[in-house]
Amino acid sequence: MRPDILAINQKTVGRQTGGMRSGSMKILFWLALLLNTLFIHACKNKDLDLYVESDKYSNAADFIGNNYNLSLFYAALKQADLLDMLKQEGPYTLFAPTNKAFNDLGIVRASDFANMKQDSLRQLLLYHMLPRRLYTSDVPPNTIDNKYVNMMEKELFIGYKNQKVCAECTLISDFYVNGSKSVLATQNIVLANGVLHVVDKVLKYNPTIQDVLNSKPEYSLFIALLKRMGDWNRLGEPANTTVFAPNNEAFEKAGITANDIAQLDPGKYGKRLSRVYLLYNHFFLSDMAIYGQLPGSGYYGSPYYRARIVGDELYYFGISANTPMEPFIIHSQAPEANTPLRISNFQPGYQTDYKADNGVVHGINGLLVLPEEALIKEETKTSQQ
Amino acid sequence: MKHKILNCPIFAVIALSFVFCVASCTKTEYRTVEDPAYIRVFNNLTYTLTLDNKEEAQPFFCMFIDPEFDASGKPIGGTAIGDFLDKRNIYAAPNAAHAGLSTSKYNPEYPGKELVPTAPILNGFDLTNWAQVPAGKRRFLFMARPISSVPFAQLPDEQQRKVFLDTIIDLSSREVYTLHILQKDFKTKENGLYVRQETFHKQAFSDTLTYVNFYNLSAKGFLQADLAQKLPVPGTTRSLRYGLLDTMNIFITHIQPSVNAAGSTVQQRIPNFSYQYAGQMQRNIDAPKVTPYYGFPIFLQNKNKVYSDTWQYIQFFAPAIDPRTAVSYLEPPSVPGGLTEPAVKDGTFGYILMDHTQYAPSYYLNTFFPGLTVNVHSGTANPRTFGVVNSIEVVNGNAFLTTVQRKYPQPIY
Repeated sequence: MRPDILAINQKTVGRQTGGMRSGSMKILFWLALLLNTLFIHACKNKDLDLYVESDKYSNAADFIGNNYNLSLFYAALKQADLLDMLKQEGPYTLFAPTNKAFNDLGIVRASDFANMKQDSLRQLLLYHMLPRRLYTSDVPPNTIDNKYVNMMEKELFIGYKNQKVCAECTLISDFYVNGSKSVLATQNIVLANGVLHVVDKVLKYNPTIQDVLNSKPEYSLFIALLKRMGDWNRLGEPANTTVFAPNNEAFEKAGITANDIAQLDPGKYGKRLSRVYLLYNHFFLSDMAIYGQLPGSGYYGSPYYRARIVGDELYYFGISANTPMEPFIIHSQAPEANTPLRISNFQPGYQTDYKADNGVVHGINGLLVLPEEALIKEETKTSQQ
Repeated sequence: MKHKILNCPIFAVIALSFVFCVASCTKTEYRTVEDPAYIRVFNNLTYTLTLDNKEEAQPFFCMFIDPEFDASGKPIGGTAIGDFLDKRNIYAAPNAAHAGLSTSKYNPEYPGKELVPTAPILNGFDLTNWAQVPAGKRRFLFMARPISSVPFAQLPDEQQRKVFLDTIIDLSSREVYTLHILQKDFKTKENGLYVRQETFHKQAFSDTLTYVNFYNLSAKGFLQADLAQKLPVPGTTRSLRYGLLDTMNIFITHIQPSVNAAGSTVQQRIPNFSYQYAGQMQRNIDAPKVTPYYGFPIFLQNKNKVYSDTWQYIQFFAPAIDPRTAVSYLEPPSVPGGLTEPAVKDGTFGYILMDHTQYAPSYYLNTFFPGLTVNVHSGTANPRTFGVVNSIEVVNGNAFLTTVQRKYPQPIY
């Protein structure tokens, strides 16, 4: 707009309304000036520091010490001389097992740690810590095998299920580390020097699967079977194996003794006799909960997992779709295609998810194949063709 | 006094500067690309991660063209970034259908929902689904990323470092390219980028015909693999689920719906346009080449000059099987029931139905597709049927339809 036109217009208006108008024009002028000043002033952004770091968080050592549900974990840290470290700057991520988790392993009072070797206890505890802050939001939802190196310089396998199926449904937010679960209420506890997640199982680690099995006397018959059938060596090699290990009770229930195993002729039996317990894969039981069932239909038709038995490909090992997630063996061809030949069950949670560098061991409480079922017959051979 | 104030030039200057201040808030900068090539990127990896293939990368990407890296080697920018590149849709529509309507960040193709300069109309073909990138040697970097709506740059550091594919391709000026992320080998799980230079805008196509060509972009060894290994693909096209032989003959049958005396719709094949041989489909992922287009007329509805409701029943047969004489295959438009048919499993037979009334976009990867023509409101006619140029790509037991349309008169309401 040209200024002179504006001026003429204003002049005409002023003449008509007289002295009254001149006052308001003056105000208008000052208002315009003020508005313009404000407008330009608004461009200047002064840095406002609204965020003040809270100093009310306790450090890891104090938090654990003040929490009754973590008193055994605290006692263990004290025994291993790790409390001083946890008062330092950090940052740390702690996967803190509850007292119940220690009770499951037979540790019920603080003094029980006194009998343990301090060095190995220290390694066990460092295995539960990451030298960084890891919140659940840092892990992609509904994934498994997110690997983070812990303070023992081994990888922890972290899985995260975060799912809300419908608007009214409950949010499922389960955080898993090596198969141990942390529920929504006890995740992401902020500490002055890190973050803490309470888990329901103590993390267990051995260098190889052979070490895991050797360390537990209840698997002596299973080890004997693996050795007899020639499958033991693999468990010391780097290739991944997930072992579903039946305990000695399972063999006793089936009436199989150490002597029977020693007299087995490996050539007379199908590979499934021992390999049904070995998956050439690496997974924790929680991974199945995160990934969910396979597509398909039926009780055994849409299982959590199903894989051909290596060396005996007509048979499948699977984990059924029902709630206790039963391990089962099934023949791949009709007429038994949807009926398992034999079902077992898992040992309690603390007997599963034993991690080694070359796989995982899960305890089961029943045999899946009896020796007489695995005998190679002539007719079986022809039906395989 | 008042006149003096109003005449004062300062007042005018202040008023004007205020106006300019406000006006400057809506400055628009148009992005231009010098010497462009036109690209469209599809992610053909439809697998979901299960316990068996968990070591594979999540098939969900952030694409960088000519990436730039920070000091630690993490991609932070480039000529173009296409985040949230999801697996492709069963149907790639001829217009930028998702751009204005979708509320999801996940992008079924690039450019798709990205706001980038798109290609112009070339020889009458509407190329709004192609993005402009500078021609020449371009580095394409695909980073595998978790499926979430968090932008790539805001992901935790360790999740920004999973390189999926890093390759350099040569793009010629003002040429049209279709890029596919493909599995090259089913056994080794090797993946690669397949770059096809399109020629449809250079061919002498008739306005009154519609065209279709076929590609088999399946991985090496998919058909031969154990049936159980093909199972985890969810809701895969039923008939192609187990793959097709490397060489297949294509037969198109045109189906005309009509209303019978009882008032119900009957689907019947047009006798003279049944089992039309439409060439051969050969598996080829190593030497991208445009396959010949097969054209057919638009069968306008009786007493209707502009609209067609016919649809196409496409059958794939291993060479030497002739559907006109082979009695063991159901006659179109009947659909074989289930997978018990032995031929489906050994890859000698497959079928897809281009029937828009049965197509359901929410049912991912099924047997039904929208037709090989486009029905839109154009001029005063609503709808009016146009011939288009289609490509059907068979990838590891799935089929995908891509349609390119020509410019047509805008609707008059």
